[in-house]
Amino acid sequence: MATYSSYKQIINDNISSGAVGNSALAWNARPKQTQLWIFNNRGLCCNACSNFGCAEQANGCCCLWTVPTGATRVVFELWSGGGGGAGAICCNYCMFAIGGMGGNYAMKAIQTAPGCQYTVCAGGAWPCTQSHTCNASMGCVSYINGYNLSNFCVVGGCGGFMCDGDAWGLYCMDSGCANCNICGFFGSDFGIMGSGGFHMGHGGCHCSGADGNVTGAAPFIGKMDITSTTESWCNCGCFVNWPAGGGVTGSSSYCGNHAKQCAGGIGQGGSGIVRITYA
Amino acid sequence: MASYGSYKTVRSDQFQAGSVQTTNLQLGAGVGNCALLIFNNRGMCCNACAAFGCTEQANGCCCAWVVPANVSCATFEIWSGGGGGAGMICCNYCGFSWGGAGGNYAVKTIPVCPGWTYTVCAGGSWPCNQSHTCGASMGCVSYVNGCNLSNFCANGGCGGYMCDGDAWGGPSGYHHMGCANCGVMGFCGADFGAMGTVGTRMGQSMCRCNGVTNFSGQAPFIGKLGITGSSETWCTCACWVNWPAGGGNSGISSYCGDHAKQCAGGMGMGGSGIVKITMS
Repeated sequence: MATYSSYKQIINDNISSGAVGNSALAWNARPKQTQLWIFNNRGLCCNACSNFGCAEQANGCCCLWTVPTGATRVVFELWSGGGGGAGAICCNYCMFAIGGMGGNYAMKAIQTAPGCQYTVCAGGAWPCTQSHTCNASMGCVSYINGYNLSNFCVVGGCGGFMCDGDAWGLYCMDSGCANCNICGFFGSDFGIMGSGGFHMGHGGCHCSGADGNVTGAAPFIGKMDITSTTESWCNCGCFVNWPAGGGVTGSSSYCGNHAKQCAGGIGQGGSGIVRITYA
Repeated sequence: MASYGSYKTVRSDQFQAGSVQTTNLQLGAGVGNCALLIFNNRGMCCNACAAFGCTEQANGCCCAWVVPANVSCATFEIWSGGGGGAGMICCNYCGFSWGGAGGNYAVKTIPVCPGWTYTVCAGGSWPCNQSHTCGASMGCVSYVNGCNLSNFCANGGCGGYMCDGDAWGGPSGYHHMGCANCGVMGFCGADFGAMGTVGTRMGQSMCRCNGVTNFSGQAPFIGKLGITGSSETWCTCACWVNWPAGGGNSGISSYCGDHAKQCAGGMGMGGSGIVKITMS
């Protein structure tokens, strides 16, 4: 039996179609749409700095997200970790170095339900401070698992290169369909790959001067890193291209001097981020 | 005669102005906006790759969009196709080349009514696999036609260049071409727009053919720059796509005194454009 309070309640049938117009809404009464960012907090706080340890700066961030009450729609956006910067281990070679590629991007919009849980991971990056490895590692994958998603992920950006890398330059830029020849994203509505890193050409001694080194950038973030030396025996550092940018590879330009072998990777890729928009 | 049900129905004039506040809304209440992206699916699937044919990768995508029920506002964002990468046809010249410009961007918000139809086109790009044409073609225009729009479009990014290009630099005035790349306005009929950046090449000392770096332009808000560089090379050819809306890389030929430099073809092509529709 209806109570007095239930009698007073307004149900949907009591509101005529389109009755609540803009004039009825208060100025700040806006549709309730909320955004949530997931990332390694150290990456945010320090951004380019890794003074207190590259390893921590390179970490990603994973968590469990529960759909709040009332939310039925969600848009997930992923950026993977950027590729690492490489360093030389060889000597007596000119180093045609290439920076790491930018992280890849993908988005997916789905219907969901309150209480659904999603495993959300913003991928990390390779902790490559002053690396001497020739080939740097890729950034880490970012992904989300849960209801109405299937293999939704973005692969990390391809690592940089610095080792006997053909001082004459590259003859053909033919990197297949993706960085590191693997597809950049899966299970998404839309996606864009990060751009590639590269090295500037120069004349004269091929090791000397204008040794500019360029990283890739992540889509919609666009942080490209460049370093350049005219004559350098060793260029090492740990500079982080956060978020999702490619790491800078080492620079060693002094002709005829074996000290060039010391050049380590200058930077590491930025860890990935995730944005969740729900309503 | 009024029924009991109609007597209880709340009408619009019964709401006092400003009476419904955020706290009165549930999470998700009133959120009718959603976004729709229009693009060449091959472009997205392959991104940088043109291994299975540049032509298909260069295509744009056009369709008719019908305003859904309950939608009263639409924001159209368009990025045009990026400019193509050029390649040599000449010999005995230094090839001072630069990449194609990034696609241009424009946005327009308009009131719409359910059932209205709009023609939406995400522009393609020039299918320039290892081109040998000196001047590369512009990317293609992206546009939306329909009620409450007037000539709303974004012109394609300007093509790259590689031919007898003055070893001391590019043709004079390249960066002084008036209000836009290729000397044409980048967008029309928009609330706001931004032009793509233009491609360029690094300067070089010593032999001016030796050691080159070639930059493409980028599309606003996307920010993918294509870069290629070599210290000494006779021929650099490829078909690499700067998707979406980025400029293509021109060829590189840097070996001084060797006629083989004429073989350098365009290294990349511009990415096709995209369109984003946000409705509410």
